[in-house]
Amino acid sequence: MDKPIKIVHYLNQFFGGIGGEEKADAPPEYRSAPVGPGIALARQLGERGSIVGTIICGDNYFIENEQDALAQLLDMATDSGADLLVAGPAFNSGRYGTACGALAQAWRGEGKPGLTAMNVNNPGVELYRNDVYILPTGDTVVSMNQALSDLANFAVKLAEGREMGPAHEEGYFPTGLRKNLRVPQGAAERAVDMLVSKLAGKSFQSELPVPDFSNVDPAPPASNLASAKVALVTESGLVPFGNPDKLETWNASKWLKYSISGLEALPQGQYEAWHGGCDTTGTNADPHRAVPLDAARALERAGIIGGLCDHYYVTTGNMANIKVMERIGREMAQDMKAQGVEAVILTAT
Amino acid sequence: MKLRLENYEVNALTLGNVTRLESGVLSIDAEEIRKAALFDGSISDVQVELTSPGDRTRIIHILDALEPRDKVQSDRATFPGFLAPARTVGEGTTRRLKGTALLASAQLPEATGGILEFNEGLIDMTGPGVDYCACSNTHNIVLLFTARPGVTNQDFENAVRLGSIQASRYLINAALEGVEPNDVEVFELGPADPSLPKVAYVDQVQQQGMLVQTFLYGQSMESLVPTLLHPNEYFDGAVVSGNYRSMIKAPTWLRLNNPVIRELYTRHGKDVNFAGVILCRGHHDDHQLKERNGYMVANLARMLGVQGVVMTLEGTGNTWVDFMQAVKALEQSGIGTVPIVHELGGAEGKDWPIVDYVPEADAIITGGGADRRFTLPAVERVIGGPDLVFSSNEAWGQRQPAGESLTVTAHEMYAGFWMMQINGITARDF
Repeated sequence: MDKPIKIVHYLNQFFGGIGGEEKADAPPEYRSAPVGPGIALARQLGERGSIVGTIICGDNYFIENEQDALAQLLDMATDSGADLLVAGPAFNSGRYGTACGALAQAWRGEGKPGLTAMNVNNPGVELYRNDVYILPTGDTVVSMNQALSDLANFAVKLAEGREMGPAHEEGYFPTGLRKNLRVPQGAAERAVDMLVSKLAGKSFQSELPVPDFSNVDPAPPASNLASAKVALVTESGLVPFGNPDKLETWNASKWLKYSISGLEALPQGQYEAWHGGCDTTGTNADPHRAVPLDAARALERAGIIGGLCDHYYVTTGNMANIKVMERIGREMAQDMKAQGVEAVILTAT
Repeated sequence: MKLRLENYEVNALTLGNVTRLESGVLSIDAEEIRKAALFDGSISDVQVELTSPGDRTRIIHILDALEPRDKVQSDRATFPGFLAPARTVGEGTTRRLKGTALLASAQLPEATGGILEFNEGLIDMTGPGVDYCACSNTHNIVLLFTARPGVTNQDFENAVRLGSIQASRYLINAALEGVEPNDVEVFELGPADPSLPKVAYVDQVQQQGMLVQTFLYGQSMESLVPTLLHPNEYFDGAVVSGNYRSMIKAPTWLRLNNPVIRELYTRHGKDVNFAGVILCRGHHDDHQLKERNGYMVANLARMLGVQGVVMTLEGTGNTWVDFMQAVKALEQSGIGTVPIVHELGGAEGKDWPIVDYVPEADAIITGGGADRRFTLPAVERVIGGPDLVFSSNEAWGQRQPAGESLTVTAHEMYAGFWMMQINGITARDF
């Protein structure tokens, strides 16, 4: 390596020492020295590089003002004179991971190398791994030392500008690209080797990993529907007219719930479907096609169901990220359980 | 079942007045091999051309490739079912002209299309194409067949196959009179350490219809259900290719020299206990038949008592579903499965690389992305005709001079998909 690399380091408000969740709306700020994990990262880099500046932003500030936050942070990073941007590690923190990915992507968009690190379950992985190098970490700060060591080593490799090897060998999340290469053994020999390992219970690495979209086993039926509280859930993107909470039409990042307490039906013209993956004309004409409140109230009156949950739940099921959708499903279920919901009517587009 | 395979090594080819192997030089009487290849009246002419590795030669319009083999002092014949009784093979002594291939090159008399189509797949004897095509490293006797005007594709392609087999029998019988083999290999699934894992090979071949089919003992595999073969049967030509989708095919030469069978024999008694081959077809007409095929493969494997299998597939597209249904059924039966596949994934490698998969396919070996482009330099000599038409790439349907520099993918190379696997090409996530 010719000369030590100059790194600008991105942290959220927590790792940046500003504060916890109560400071999550902290706007971007700049420090001209390593902060928090950056101090250990600088130690890991040793003579190979230094951290010339640290940029910090609150998790909520970033998510709620993404374009503005990105512009400010990029300006600060550029002014720092750094060659390379390191963001995180973000572990399992979804907002932080998303910010790390977005910032590294934007930095890379200016032709400069950037990388980040987070846990495989962080939604930032699926959102940004096609555009930036993301290194895997454990799910909590317990794995900090390993993550910083990996980031330091990878940053040096990246700064050298050499051609990066396969994801599994170099230790980054695959970027969605498959490249051909040559190995000394033909397929038959490798296949028998892999089979022997597989049968012996030894570890092996499939040359073509396929995603395993695990099956969702249906829950058992409600034990007594006549006394059960039922929730209406939809991925149709049906929201109050004007989309006050800005639900995305595709690649949704959030779920919402809206009160139906006291409503016998959804008044026509007061709701609309924000969904980029299907024809919404029918739903907009009659919102019950997505959220069958009218029919559910009839069941409630007839005593077939015990009662309806006071809210309906909604997200957009269109070109969505699987991991984000898993999170949304989990969060919705937790919220419903807290309200004693025992059964769900899930309407899909 | 024990097979002695006598290797007669060929290091050079020449045309001469007599057919004879002497000091590694195979001299061929062109007139005699022509006569043997002129199987019936649907063939109007046969010409003979020779080419060896390193020649600046390109071979085009290839239908099938054989390796000359025959049985010694036996009531059985190689390529059984074709001009010979369909008696089972794999025992006794077989002679082979090692290092050679006998290729049939021809233009079909009638137009082809749809899924029953001839696809050009060429062989370059030197240059960057050699790793992507079969028979670039063999001394090749190319028979150029011309169809008599008015004959059907069916009659002609049948005559070409039978003519090629007759020519190969002539060649080896005439050449080896009084010649001693260089060495002898013995193939026998003898007793193996019972603590070794018992494994099988599952060979899924392409079967779509005329021009895209595979034969077992002379019979098309159209209505075949999965069946059990001894690996030695492959060495004697029990499985013959009639598949002219040339890039995705496994020619008869590769059935005779199947790399997985060779490898499992090498490892038999050391790492594994090789139990046999399950042969099945792909491209079944509907999902029910594909699923049935998969479960029948798994049942045969269970009855064999194997713990694991290696699988290959011939062809692509539709046939992936058959293949993955078999992976699923095998894994669900507790049989560890390693499928060997090709990848598509586009010229850049950014598209999803395989047509179908099941989550049970957790141990895949890949021959890499077959859509990646490379350039073949111009050659000095073309065997098979002055021009060619690719049916698989951007130049689809355009006639172009065959000897010029060509930008191709494995889709335009003879047995390209299998040869990438054999030659150690693979792919990884980046």
